[in-house]
Amino acid sequence: MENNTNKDKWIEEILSSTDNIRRASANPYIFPKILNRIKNISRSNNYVPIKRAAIGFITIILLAIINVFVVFKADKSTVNINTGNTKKENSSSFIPSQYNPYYEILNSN
Amino acid sequence: MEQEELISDLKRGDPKALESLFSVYKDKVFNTALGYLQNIQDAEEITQDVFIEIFDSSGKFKGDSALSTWIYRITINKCLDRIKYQKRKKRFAAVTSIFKPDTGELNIDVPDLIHPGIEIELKEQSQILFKALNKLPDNQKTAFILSKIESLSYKEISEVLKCSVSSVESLIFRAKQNLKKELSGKFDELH
Repeated sequence: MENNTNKDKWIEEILSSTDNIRRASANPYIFPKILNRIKNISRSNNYVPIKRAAIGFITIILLAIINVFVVFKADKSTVNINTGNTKKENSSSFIPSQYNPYYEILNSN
Repeated sequence: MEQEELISDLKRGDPKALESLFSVYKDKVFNTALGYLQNIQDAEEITQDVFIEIFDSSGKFKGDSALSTWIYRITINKCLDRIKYQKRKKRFAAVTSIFKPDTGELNIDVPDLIHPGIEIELKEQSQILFKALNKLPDNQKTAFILSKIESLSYKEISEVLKCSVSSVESLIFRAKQNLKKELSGKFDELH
């Protein structure tokens, strides 16, 4: 019981330790540092770093290569499909009115 | 200088306006950051970051809220970002220490804060309180710091946190309950 009273008292003491706290003052020498950093930021904003430019350039080249590759591949496959379709379209076996299911069997014999 | 005048000068990139603002708000920013980060060097860096952000994004300040509210919000966000970064760094150090046990990178814990604004006889108690504060969720910690360390009214805190006054009351109540639980464990540990 006494221990609990002591504990509560101790907790209250800890919680009220900041009751009369004074505001901590910032170092006045921080301001020149801020100005310096602002100057550096505005100076560095005027040019793009070489590393970033190189990465951008390489990315564009890679994208262009992938693009050309995909376009050419797609073109080839389109031609093949078209050729296939043309053959099939010309074939009479695909026109229902002229389609004779026994034609191939009769011919093979 | 009036608030509107200061802001319009800042938007034009006038360093004198920034200096005026710095002289008015530097202690508020530094003290809040110190309560959060509990390290003087980190608090000074955050103070710099906050004023750079104010200078850069003064155009975004619409004047819907008080200038001090806007500055407190920037400070809190910067502090939360810094804490997240420190946690990430700590996790990374923990992983790297598995592979390189001799690097000693794990030793980046924040030392106990001796707040410059606390009376000498209360320094020990306040150190325990600041340590317990770190166990609170972000919103409870923010409300508690703004109320107890920065002495803001519940109304001012509600404006900073963009919530109702009753929400602030509830946050501070829960923060105290959690602190009591934490301190109870600490008492058992010490005695």
